[in-house]
Amino acid sequence: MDAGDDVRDLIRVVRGLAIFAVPADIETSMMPALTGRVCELVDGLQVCGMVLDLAQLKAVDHGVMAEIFRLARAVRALGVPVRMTGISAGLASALVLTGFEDMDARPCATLDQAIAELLSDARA
Amino acid sequence: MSNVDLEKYEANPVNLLWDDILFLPVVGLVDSKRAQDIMDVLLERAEQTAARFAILDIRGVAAVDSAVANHIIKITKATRMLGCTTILSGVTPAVAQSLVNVGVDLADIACTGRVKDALSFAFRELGFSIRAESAG
Repeated sequence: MDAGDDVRDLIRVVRGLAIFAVPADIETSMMPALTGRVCELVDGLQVCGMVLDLAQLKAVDHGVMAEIFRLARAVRALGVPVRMTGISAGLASALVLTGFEDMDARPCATLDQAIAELLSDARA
Repeated sequence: MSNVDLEKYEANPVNLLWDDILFLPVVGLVDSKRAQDIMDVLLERAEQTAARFAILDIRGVAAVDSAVANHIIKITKATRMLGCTTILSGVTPAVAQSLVNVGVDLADIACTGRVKDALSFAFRELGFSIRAESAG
């Protein structure tokens, strides 16, 4: 991913929800700008929730994960609930064993489940 | 699969007990190596099945000290990242006291004394119910 890539290409809107597929080649240095752009887009799209899909991430460092959760926190601050999906077994194990515990978005087993939960919350 | 891997899976058999519910009985001693094996197999199965609950039955664990307790906490945190909630079952009064005495925070972990209660908890969360067919 290049800084010049349009974040809009990484976000699709499904049933009033933003699905953000975090790219595999994400780097810590890209994240602050990416977070700002995602927040602008989510705010503009008037969605009722966002799913952070991490399925493409196979190995990331703490810095990237911390920034991803910061992004989730920022989106939640806009009043948009966030769910996370797609964390691999290897990534989860590595994160926990290195002491990473900062979970700012509720994880879901599948993308479908994340969408269902957000839609259910929106209806409640 | 190597012999080492085979031993790992045989020693820690994770079964899909029901749709969305995994079950792993842990028997014997749990040291750091065993705990890592348990985490590996449980995460692998959780990823494969996209299960939403994993019942970790520790009734057969010989002793629960602070190291074992911390391993259990790590396993629950890791599975949660996959959207799979771990329910700890088989917690005996002695183990419950050990966990409290070593200062483990179980606030975020569902604990039950029996597997039956863990299964009931998972069923309830999944919206399942069990009822007897009426006679006749």
